Amino acid sequence: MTNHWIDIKNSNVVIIMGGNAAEAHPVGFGWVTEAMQHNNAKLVVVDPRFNRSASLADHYAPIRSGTDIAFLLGVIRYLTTTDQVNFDYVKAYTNASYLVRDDFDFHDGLFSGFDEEKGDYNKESWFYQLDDDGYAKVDETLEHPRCVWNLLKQHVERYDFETVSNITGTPVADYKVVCEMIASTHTKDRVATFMYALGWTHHSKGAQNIRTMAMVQLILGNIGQLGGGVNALRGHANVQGATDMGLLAQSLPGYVKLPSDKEPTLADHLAAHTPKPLRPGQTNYWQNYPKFYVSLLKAFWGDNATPENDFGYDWMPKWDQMYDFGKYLDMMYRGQINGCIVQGVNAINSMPNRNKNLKALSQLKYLVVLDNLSSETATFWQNEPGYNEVDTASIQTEVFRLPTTCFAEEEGSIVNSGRWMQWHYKGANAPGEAMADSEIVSGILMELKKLYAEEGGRLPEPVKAVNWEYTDKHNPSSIELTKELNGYDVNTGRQVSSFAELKADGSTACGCWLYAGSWTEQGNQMDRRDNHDPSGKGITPGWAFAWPVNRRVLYNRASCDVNGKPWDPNRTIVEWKDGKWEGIDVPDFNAKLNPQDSAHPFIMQPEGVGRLFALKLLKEGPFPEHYEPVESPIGTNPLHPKVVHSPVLRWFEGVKDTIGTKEEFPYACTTYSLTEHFNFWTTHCRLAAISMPETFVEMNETLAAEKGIKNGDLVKVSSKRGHIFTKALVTKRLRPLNVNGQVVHTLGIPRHGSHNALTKKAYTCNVLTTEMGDANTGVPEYKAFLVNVEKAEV
Amino acid sequence: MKKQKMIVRHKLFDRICHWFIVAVGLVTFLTGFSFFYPSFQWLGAISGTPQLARFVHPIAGLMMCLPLLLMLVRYYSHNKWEKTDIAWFKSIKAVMFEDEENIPPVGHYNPGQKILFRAFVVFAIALIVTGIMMWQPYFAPYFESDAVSWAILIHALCAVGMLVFVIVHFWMATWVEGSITGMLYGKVSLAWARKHHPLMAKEHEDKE
Amino acid sequence: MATQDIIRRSGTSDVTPAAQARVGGVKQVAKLFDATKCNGCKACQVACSEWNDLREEVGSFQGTYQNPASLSPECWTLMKYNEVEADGKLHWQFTHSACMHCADPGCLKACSTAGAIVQHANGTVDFDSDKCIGCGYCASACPFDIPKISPVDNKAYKCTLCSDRTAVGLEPSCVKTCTTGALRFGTREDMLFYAEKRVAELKDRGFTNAGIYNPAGVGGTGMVMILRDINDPESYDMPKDPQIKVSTELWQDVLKPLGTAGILATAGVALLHRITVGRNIVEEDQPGYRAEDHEEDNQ
Repeated sequence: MTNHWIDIKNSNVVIIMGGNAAEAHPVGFGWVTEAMQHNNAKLVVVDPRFNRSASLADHYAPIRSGTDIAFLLGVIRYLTTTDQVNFDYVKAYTNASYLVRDDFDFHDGLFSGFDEEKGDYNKESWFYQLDDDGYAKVDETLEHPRCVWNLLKQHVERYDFETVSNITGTPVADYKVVCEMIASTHTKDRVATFMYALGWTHHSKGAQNIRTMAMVQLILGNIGQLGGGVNALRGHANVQGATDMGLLAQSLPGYVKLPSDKEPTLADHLAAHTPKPLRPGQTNYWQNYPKFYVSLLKAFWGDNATPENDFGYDWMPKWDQMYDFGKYLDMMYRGQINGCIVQGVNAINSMPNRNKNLKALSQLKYLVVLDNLSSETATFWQNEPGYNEVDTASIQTEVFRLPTTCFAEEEGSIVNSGRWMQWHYKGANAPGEAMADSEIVSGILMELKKLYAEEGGRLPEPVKAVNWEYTDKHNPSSIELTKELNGYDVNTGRQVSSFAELKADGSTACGCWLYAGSWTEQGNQMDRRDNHDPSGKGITPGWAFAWPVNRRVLYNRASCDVNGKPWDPNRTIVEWKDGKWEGIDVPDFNAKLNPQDSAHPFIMQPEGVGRLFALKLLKEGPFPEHYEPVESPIGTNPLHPKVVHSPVLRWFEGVKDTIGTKEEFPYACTTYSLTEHFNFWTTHCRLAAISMPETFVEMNETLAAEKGIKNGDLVKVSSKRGHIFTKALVTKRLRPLNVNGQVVHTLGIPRHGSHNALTKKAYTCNVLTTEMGDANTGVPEYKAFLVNVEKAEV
Repeated sequence: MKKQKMIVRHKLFDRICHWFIVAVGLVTFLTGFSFFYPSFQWLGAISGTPQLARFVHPIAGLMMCLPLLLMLVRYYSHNKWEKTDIAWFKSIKAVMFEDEENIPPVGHYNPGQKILFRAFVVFAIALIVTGIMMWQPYFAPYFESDAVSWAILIHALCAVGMLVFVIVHFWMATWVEGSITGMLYGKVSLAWARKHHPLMAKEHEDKE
Repeated sequence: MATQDIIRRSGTSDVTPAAQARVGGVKQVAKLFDATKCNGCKACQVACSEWNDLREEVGSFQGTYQNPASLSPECWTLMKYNEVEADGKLHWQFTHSACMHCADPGCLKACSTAGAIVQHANGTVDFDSDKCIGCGYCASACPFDIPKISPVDNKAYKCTLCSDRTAVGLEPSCVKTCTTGALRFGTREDMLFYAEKRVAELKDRGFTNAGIYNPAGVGGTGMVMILRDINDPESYDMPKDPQIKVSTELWQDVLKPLGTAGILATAGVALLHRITVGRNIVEEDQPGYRAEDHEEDNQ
């Protein structure tokens, strides 16, 4: 979240789209009801299902799963054609006025530079026109035909109400209402927030879904404001922390990059990732990349990292392609992987295309499962008729099950969606032989070190060099680890108080630069519990620690105009008053600068402004474009039939054969979580199992009637990849949608099927889902695929 | 003294039934009373604790009603309406004041006893049906709570009605001396029969 | 030691009421359920089971989000889910279903056992399981179909409004855990004041039929609800005009006195008859009776 949970109470319009906050985040959703009751906020819910969030919405609009980009580009068209735009904001704080290269183009669903053979773009043309100093050219009048604003208007021209409705299935009347409600926040005294989650990421264009929404927020001037922002709701208690710590396959802690094999030296790597300012006078905060990177290497390798050896850069693995879990599973499937350590996920029930995964795990020589519960992954080799059909005798995989503690059985910090690092203490001792993950992993490392020392082996250097100076090398304490993440001066051992103190010369070490300031010389900042809120706006600087530098609202320079005057005096975060900056939050800019010099709020960008035009950062293109899900219930793209789905998808060998067509599998299907359960974990929890004992498939009444299916009937749902049996929930909350001259029915399946827990034995929906996913992140398209359904013979 | 001539009025099986009913009926009514009059919960102490009273009551009730119905079947033939019954009712005053000359002759049972018989039939059936409907925890959950609520009312109503008739029954039995020994030992004197049930006596004499 | 906060006991005659000293002195409490703020998350339901140590069987899918299927001795709070079409819109309505703590409780009126159901001075209706005999009268008399009899121990169970928590100044566990502020707890007066304000807000937001569900037929309730459409409480599975059932009233208020009178009258008449008319004996059967004596008389 650019903002934080409590801040939602400051919103005027809350849009829940690509998520289901009431269902998946019921506690945080309390701030939505708070906004509705005490700030007279309106709640808009756009979702394929009338869900728990919709139950409280002022307006609900149905949408066909996987068409959010069309929906939002239509919103942008509505905003620009009706001039419901915060122009002052757009001109000053976005790249609307920047001129784009003349060779940039978009035709028939493809941007310039497409290489059909590679299925990828040459992104050369996706850039600004630069002047002789290397700065981007701008036209502040927004009149130049090549300025981003005009290109954007041209790009969204096609997305009129009828076209959008024809793609999304959202009735025009509903769509208009949503447009109007969103547009109402273009004024300076009104702000909207978007709350989203996996409903946007689980698509073959997940990153673009989110980006389109961010563009809407920029055009409305809603980013950097109280009650606004771009707000990802993180599902798992610490998925934000995991992401910060390098969850993505090509990330390292603090969102710095894992080096690629095109960057053989540290200098190459730093040059590739340290941007030059694209406009004069920029903060361009990533110019500090070398400081963060070298400090991270110092944390990794300790005294073994020296300027002479590039701070151990050579010991870092270098990628040639993205090794995300989808890639790994495919490699396992092909017998290219010997062993796998599964930690913090019930892989066999979570990863798409379960049947393929069963074969993949069966190819391993060994599988290590770290989990605090007996997950289906650890027992994947056990035959369970119907639910997990394997030939146990033929599986040679040796499985090691290492019981871990759960969060309540260890102390440490959890980072919530609002970037708050909150310290918690151990509530109970773990049962039996369970150990903390850190203890298990340390034990493996110590054993590896011993084996290398005694027996030698290939590539011993990283294992030898790793910095592991903990009191108990077999069991580093949470405190030691957290202090290391904060960073320290390697000469004095003094904890740094902010990342501004980090150096690129090897004199500081820092495990995650964003966390600097969380454990300073003043002690643990994360266990502070002063909920004093002096402004009444939900900014509680004494409660825990929000990265970065205890800042609660990111980009908060954008809360006031170029001259430092808040757009809305009721939403003052920072303000230029009597020759200095004052405010209720830590400024997200250099507060020593005057308003005009600091008027580039998006300091992480080399041009300091929000990007309506994303340059080369996303694989699909600098503007979002509607592409159908890989499995489309209409089988075509009404906008450009030749480019139906994203043209840059990653296709593993043989996967094309696992993609169904609408003729064979005529119904759209989506998957989701239920309030009653947290993934598969709580299927082992009796109270949660009581409150939702079994999974089901939701379908609309029309389809059910056509198929002769009654509420509660057992049905067979099949996709190109497999089938499941489950019970039908026939509901008014799903409805048939009219799309491109046909009726699209959507089915919905909760993802909590377990055959090894306290809940009733059930199939998991990942039997049906496809491994095709977002080209940027590899996240699979769990939310939109094709199935067939029929009443099952009992 | 000439030995009295005795005739059979109640067979052994019926007498066992009757006194069995009296015994379990006592338990049923006392426990039932303890629910009807919470302030007199001690009446239910006959079965131990209040909880046991509630457990015992429906079982005792069934044990009371089923033999009762059996008896009623066996006595059905004696309890058919007859034309003369109306005349008997008209002379109810004579009945109550022992003005025997003015009482039309009756058979095995007089019309008053026939009413009692019918009342017991109706009450026993109603009590069984409503009793089952309200029987926790076995049967009540199968009925709508409204239905159970009405069942409880009807059950209580029938129990009160039945009790009134039991009192009348007891009253008449103790008043008309010889009745109780008749029900105890099965036989009544021919004279008793001539006095109270002349047609029954006549039938007996005709047979002889 | 008596707590003296029990102001009403079941199975007690009006002639001998429970302690009345604190009536009016202790403020009545209420739980407020604002259905227009509820997101149906079931936190209240789970918290209830957790605090009260209840574990219903793990059931199976019954065609609805509502699980378990109904209130039970092991489930004292149950979220109900209703799909309702009204004013051209779909509404997915959630009902926090638990004891309403009626001011005039039908259960207490029907109870067969002295003191098994009590009403505390703060208005809470509570069951004393030690006294309960499991007759089920409460279950059938409740206009909201709340109490359930356990087939295991044959006792009646229902929400106690966490009387063990409220007794020490805590809110009920369901209120404590509510995620959206849909549940509140306080004095009845405060809750009704708040509810009126809230309804006014809702009317401003376009919910013109919003209203407070505090049915007068049972003297008002200790759980007050704010409903989207007060004219259609049935769409929330709540009775439109709940009252103590006619059957219960006929039984307790009519049958009991009349029946008692009837029984006593019958016994009285019998006694009077016996005293006045005397024995009805067959003379021939009397000891010392000689037929000859009478034959002479006859001659």
